[in-house]
Amino acid sequence: MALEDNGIPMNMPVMPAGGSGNMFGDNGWWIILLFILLGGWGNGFGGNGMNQMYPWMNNSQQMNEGFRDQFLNSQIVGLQGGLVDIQNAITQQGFAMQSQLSNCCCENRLATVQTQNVVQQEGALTRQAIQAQTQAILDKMCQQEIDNLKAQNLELQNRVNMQNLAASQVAQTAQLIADNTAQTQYIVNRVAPYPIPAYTVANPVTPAATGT
Amino acid sequence: MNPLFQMLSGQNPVNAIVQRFQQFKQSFHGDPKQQVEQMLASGRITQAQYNNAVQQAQQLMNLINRK
Repeated sequence: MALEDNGIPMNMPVMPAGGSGNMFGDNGWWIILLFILLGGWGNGFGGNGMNQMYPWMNNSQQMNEGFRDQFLNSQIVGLQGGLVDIQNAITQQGFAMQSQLSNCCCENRLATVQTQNVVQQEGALTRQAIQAQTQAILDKMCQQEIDNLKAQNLELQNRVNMQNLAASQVAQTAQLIADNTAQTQYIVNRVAPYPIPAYTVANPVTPAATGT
Repeated sequence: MNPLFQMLSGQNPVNAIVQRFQQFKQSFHGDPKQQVEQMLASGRITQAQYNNAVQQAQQLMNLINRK
């Protein structure tokens, strides 16, 4: 049986590209051999005995080789157990991660809702504070406007009062002047009287009067 | 620590397997490729069993490389 005829790749299929960088290095055929031996127990090879599975043991059945094969057998069993442990651990870890993810989802949702509530409460408090501050500012501005108008009103009242006082003074002064003039004229008339015509006559020297 | 390792009593299972693998190699005398080819040629293992072993080896290598 030629390996190439059966489509079996001659290059180790599990060989990594950079084999030297892998911890197994270029031990791909070792791993395949190992899994063939591991698969033997699970697939009925065990019934054929060691001679069937380990043909290299048939050549010389010396005692020291017997011990070596026994040790080899124990190593394979240990490897098989290790792989089963890993598989079980991965399965358990998968369940645990599933549970953790579900719990994490619930916690995230709860945290989101709590955060929304906190934000809403803080937003309401902030709005109330802003409204209060705005109202205080408006009240202050309104009071300043009222004070300003009061001051203007007082100034206007003072101006009106001054205008009224000035007008009263002018009237009073005019009245005093007129009275003073009349009294002066009366005194002059009494001290140095001059004739006062009883009635008014025409000019006697005009042409109409002379007939010329 | 990786919770997977914690579930394995705090031991790194990959390292343990590598250690056992090295012991297996040291105990085994001969060319593994030749042995596999002989088993396949003689009919001790079938093509399907060989392919299965290759697939498992690939999975193991992927596991090791992700470590």
